[in-house]
Amino acid sequence: MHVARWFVLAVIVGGTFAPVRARAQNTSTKDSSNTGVAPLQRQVTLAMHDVTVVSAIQAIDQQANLRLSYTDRLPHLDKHISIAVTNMPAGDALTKVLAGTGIVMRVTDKGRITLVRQERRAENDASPDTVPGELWGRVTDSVTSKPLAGAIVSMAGTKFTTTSNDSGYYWLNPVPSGVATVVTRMLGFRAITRVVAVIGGRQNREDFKLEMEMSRLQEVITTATGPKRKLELGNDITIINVDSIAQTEPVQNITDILETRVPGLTVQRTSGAPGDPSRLRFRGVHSALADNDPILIVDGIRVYAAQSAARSSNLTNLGDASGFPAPSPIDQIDPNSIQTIEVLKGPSAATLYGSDAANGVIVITTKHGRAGPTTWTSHVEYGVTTQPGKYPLGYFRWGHPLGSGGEQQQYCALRNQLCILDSVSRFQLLNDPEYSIIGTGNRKATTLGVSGGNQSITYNLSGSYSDDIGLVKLPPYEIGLYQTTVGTAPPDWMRRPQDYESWSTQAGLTMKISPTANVTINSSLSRDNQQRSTLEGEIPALMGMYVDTLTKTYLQSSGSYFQTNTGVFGDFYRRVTDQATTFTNGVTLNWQARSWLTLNADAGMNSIDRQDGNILPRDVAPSGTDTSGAVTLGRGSSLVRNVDVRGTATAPLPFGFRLQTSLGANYTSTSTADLTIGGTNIPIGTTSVSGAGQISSPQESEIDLTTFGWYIEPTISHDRLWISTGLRLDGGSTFGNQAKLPLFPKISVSYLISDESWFPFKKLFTTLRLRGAYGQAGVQPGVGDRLRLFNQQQVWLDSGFTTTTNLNTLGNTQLRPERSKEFEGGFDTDLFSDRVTIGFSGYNQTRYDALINVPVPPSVYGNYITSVEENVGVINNKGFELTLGFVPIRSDLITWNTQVSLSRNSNKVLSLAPGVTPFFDPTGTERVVAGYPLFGRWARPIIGYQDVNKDGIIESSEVQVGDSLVYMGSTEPDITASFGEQFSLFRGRISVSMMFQYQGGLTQLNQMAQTDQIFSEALNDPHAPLGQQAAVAAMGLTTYGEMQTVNTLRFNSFSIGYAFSNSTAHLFRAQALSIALQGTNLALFTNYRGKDPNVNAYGSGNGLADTGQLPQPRSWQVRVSATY
Amino acid sequence: MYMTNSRTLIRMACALILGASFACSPSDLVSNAQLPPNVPDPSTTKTPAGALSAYYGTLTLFNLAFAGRSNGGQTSAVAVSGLISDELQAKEIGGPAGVSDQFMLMDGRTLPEYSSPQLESTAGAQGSIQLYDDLEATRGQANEARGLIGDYGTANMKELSGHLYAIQGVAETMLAEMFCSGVPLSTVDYNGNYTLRPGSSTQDILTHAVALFDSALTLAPDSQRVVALASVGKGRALLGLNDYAGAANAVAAVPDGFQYLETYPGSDIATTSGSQQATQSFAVVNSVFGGWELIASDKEGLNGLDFRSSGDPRTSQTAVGTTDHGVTVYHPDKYDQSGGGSVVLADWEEARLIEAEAALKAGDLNTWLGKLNHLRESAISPALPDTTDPGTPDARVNLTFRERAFWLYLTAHRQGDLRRLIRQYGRSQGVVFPAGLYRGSKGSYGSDVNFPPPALERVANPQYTGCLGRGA
Repeated sequence: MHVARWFVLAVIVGGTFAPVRARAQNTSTKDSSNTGVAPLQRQVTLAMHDVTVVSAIQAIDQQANLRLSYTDRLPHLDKHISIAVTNMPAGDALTKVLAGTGIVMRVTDKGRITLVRQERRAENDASPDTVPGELWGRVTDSVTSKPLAGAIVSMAGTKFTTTSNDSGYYWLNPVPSGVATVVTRMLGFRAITRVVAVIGGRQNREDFKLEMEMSRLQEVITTATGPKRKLELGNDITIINVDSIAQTEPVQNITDILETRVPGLTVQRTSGAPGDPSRLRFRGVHSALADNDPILIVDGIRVYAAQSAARSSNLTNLGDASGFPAPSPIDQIDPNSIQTIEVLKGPSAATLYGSDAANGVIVITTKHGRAGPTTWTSHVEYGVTTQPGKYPLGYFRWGHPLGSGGEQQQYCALRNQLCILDSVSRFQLLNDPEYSIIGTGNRKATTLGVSGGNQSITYNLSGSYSDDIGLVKLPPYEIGLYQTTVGTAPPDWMRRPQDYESWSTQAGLTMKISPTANVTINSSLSRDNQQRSTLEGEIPALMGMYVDTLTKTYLQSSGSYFQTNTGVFGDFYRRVTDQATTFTNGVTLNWQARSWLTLNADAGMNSIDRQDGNILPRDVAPSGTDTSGAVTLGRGSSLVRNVDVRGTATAPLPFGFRLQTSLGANYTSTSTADLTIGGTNIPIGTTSVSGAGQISSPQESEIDLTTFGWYIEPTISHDRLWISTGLRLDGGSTFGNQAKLPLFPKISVSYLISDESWFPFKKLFTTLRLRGAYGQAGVQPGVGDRLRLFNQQQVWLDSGFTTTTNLNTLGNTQLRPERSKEFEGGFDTDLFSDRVTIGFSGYNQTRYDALINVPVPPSVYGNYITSVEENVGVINNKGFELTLGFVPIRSDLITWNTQVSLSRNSNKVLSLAPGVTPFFDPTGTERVVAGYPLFGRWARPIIGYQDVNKDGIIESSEVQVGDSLVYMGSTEPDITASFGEQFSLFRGRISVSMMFQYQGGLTQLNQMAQTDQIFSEALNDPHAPLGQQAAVAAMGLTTYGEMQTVNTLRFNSFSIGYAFSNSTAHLFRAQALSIALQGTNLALFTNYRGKDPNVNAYGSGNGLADTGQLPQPRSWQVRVSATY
Repeated sequence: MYMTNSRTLIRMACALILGASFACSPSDLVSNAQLPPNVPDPSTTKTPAGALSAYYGTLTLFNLAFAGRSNGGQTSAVAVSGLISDELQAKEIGGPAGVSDQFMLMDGRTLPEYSSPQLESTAGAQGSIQLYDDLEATRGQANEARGLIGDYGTANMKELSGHLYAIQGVAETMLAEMFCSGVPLSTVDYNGNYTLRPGSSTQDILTHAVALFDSALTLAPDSQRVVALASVGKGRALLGLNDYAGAANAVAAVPDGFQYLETYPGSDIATTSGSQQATQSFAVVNSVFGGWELIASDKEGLNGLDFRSSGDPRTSQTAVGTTDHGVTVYHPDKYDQSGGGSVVLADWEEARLIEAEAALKAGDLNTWLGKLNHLRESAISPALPDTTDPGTPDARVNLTFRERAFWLYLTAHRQGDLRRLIRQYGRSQGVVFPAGLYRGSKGSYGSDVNFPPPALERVANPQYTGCLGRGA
């Protein structure tokens, strides 16, 4: 009956099936005079080698004064054993000694402990004359002595289990008399297993003082079916305590927090502009579609987090130099409002999140306050940002025509035999303060928070503000030129265009609405303003521009030739803004309906309102470009609505097992609606389409996407073993009407083997857990991908406007979601008294039915239909993740903590459907080929070169380029590692931390090498290696020479902090006061020949290439934190 | 009391939520997803009105391909053909980024085939790609529209289908004349299934075009406009196939005065309509971009004709500005600077020119000269003086092609004619196309006489392996 209890969960909300109820009496009258230590709890220490069982029994009896009674006819008393225990409860020691002898303990009616044969005890227990007893006691925090409510107390191997009430008391009544093993556990505390004696007809008291569990395995994780200890899950789920990190390390957004702390994560950064987004990829790239983004859950509410959708660019993207990506919605969440972040990296962990979750799930829990006095916290910070390192130099050969007197100075190409070299200039405008547009930026930020509460209500309110001014600036000489030509000084946004300003507020409130139910309400409101201009788009041009200072001519490289410009800058007149206002509201209901039944419901919404602008004011650009002005406005909104309901029932099973089953349903609806409209010939001083001389065609986009799923998760557990299974059935509005609803199963096993009595390496391993998990999850197709759609519009034809229809998409009614299957196995262990912690996970994830945009060649329908989406691929990612924590020194004076993580991922397209041949992705730089990584880089190889004419110069005609493409490398790194050191000195008064990050195996396409080839060393220095010359000479034929497999080691962050003494803090009326100096991106060691291999040009999709984007800046900041 | 009420409320809420949730099925809630309001309902195409709009869609695509496009996209057939030949020149680099480079590559006849779109894009060699896309899309949409008309068309469905065949025939003729041998003619059917094809030779494409014109003539015998268009198109294709007699026969019934025009709204109408800006953009003089992006040529590259300096009213030009580099920009008077007006796609003049060339080939010099002079007397006012027989075979060919160049000036015929001079009259490209030094320091004209399909064709169509030949 117990096993089937979950089955009636859905219909018996107010059921009365609880077989074992916790008594809810008024406990204040209950007490006991038995305050001494129970005999079986008295501690013994033994170190006996090769002694008889009876000798060991006598030793225990003597030390604990048990006054045992037994006869010498008991079996195996003369068996030889060895035992070594230190300060172990006598009951436990006896259990250890008697293991395998057939002897068990029995408690007489008078409370005496006797040793009897096992079969005799069974007879005794089964006897109808046996008088049952009562076991009761109190569960408290070992440090604070506060009562712990909700602790689970169970008798191992029996059906008897209960939970402690609000005062910490528990009762098990009636229970069989005798010796029993009682296990008490509670999330966040170390479980206690104790042998106790239950005397029939009596109230036997056993109190439990639980120690706060510091082990990583005891950390509580928010799963799809509610909180669980990490220990119980078969997956490696990364938990980040943001609150503590933010106090000591430089973090500005969630990406910063995740980047070096989640093994298996690759961050694809778009540029170093403030607020510029990054894409997160867990365990490689799985889908050929643009969307490899994880989903984001905040306090149980799904929020909009697309990083690769088309609308992740600025809504006014005109497809030109002013087309910037918009800030990531993930980074718009204030990190100061976050308590923890949990990362589920693959489908084996994310199965129950359904058909969107195969790319991983990021679960954020915000602060809700803790019971206690009101606490105010605040911090202020100020910092400066600079450009790290120098840009690579360009070369310019000066010479004169053969036969002339040298007065005609001109560019003297290396291959030009008619030109006599006079000198070689080395230059780089971006390293020249007079011309460079890269200067110094700054950042300021502040937060204020208050939290507190009591047993009935806890709360947290916080707010933050930050403002980042980017590096890009208009150089003084250009400001002067502008004043001369336009007649006024350039506006501030033109001088310092990069600005990212953000403010946010967050409130979290948890109320107890009944003794068994609470409600949590979360609400946050934030606004982000980003400003850019086309000035930063000049960086690639400046990288390859030579200024002849004598003649003031400006020569810009354009591949194999250069052109003469009229000035340094092409355009810095267009201002691009993005404003996002985010409102998230959620409510969570938790109800402990019965001791064995909990019901939960989450409901919420997340709304983002976007207001973007792309403005070229009238009369700010010099003549020759558009002086009449232009404006494009984008208005967009996203709305995510989310309801999740679930129930969890618990029932005991025979042999100490327990069954916990969760059943739930989840509904998520995401709607986006965008509208852009533009105007030209605008009035002076306006930034609106109103009054514009001409209005351009508005562009409208609206997408509704819905998923609904059921899930069930039965878990069988023992003290050391957890076996969890699960199933989710999903429907999605994007599935083709001929596709079956996907069913996603999972199973996970977690085994705390170190707690086994027979485990032989207890001295070495504090804990050792083995785990394994298998699961499936999906990724939905695009919203309209299944549909064959048409464009209908009014078009001028012959003499007037006519409605026309053209094919827009081919559609595919067979589309179904991608299905990812993942196996993950590994272990977690704490060694040497927790000084060393190791976590290891190996995984093998295969994505079936991978959605691939199969290119449709233009001979079918021009560029109006360029692809059709098909479920054609099988893509595999496998690898491992290793985390190592080491505490070499742990003392009051100094604590030294080392954290290392290493992950390796191997990506491969296993197969494509029959008839699907290798193809390029739409960006044309990457290729999908079975047997090779998804979107690997390919190029026609340089198979040889020879200086045929013996002039010491390799020309394109002297380079042999292969006809067939060869694989060059992956667009994702295959090895990532981070290495962190933390020092805490003088009882935490001084703290120092630093973090390094390594990436290896990424193959980058350095497009700047081609764009700037005319000024390259190879084309200007006759001493340049021939191989280098060949690579450049062949650039018109192949990208071979532009591709480079890159390894990078980045000194990611450094922080040194000082906590002032209490007396000093009190001077400022604070309870605590600290100051820290923090730096990020402090050094980069790489073999990359370009500037920075970890930025790319694309705001969406999987395309990665270095097109001269602004690299990540270096920053130094001072942070002062105070608690009141 | 408080607790009892709370519990009751919680129980009721939970029961309601759970009950509602589990009573639903995932498929119930999501299988009937609504189309976004901005997405046209596909079912609306399967109506007579939908079929008609698909027909208009085909005409619109071809309208774009022939001479349309918005600012900065002067890659129509008229512009592209004019650039690679001696009708138009590209302005120097200095305009909006990416605009001038591709025109210079076309103008300078340096048009290599690229193995990847990335290389192609980096090289700025995208000038002809939009034309290729528009012409191929015209083919695909014609097929689509014919399918809809067949199922949902009204009484004049045959005429509409015939018109579509004629338009598709013209599109394929242009693909043959302007692109290399080996353009693939892939197909997409009415249900959205597509079939990839390998490259077809120039001859094969022209032969296919003739078949399309024949279909048009069969389906729309009562439509004078369609019949005349198909006749001129067929004559043009047969001329390319070296079938002069067949060409003359095809156009014999085209009456004097016939014109099939592609019309374009002026920039005022196009930009305020809120709809597609299909202006005759190669002709627009736009202040935003500092003037006309192209320059009407005169004696370009040693071999170019004296379009301006001859003073011929058919090719007169007006200076409309100066480039950043001091070069005078000339605009063809034939077209309005607003981009509005008509461009001749096929007319009786072309029909008579085909007949003249066929007569010359047949050795009937009287008919040849008579046809040429008939045009000079009748097709323009005031009439042009008669021309005379220059006396030698080569000179007669030169005269024929000069007359074609002047009558068909900037109508996307010139490139095909120059290729025919090489292919069918044995001239070398060095004496036909613009040649010699290109813009002084920029080097020399290249040797290309046609455009390769875009690199995307190579990487996305496994049956296509590149041009079969880059010669004329």
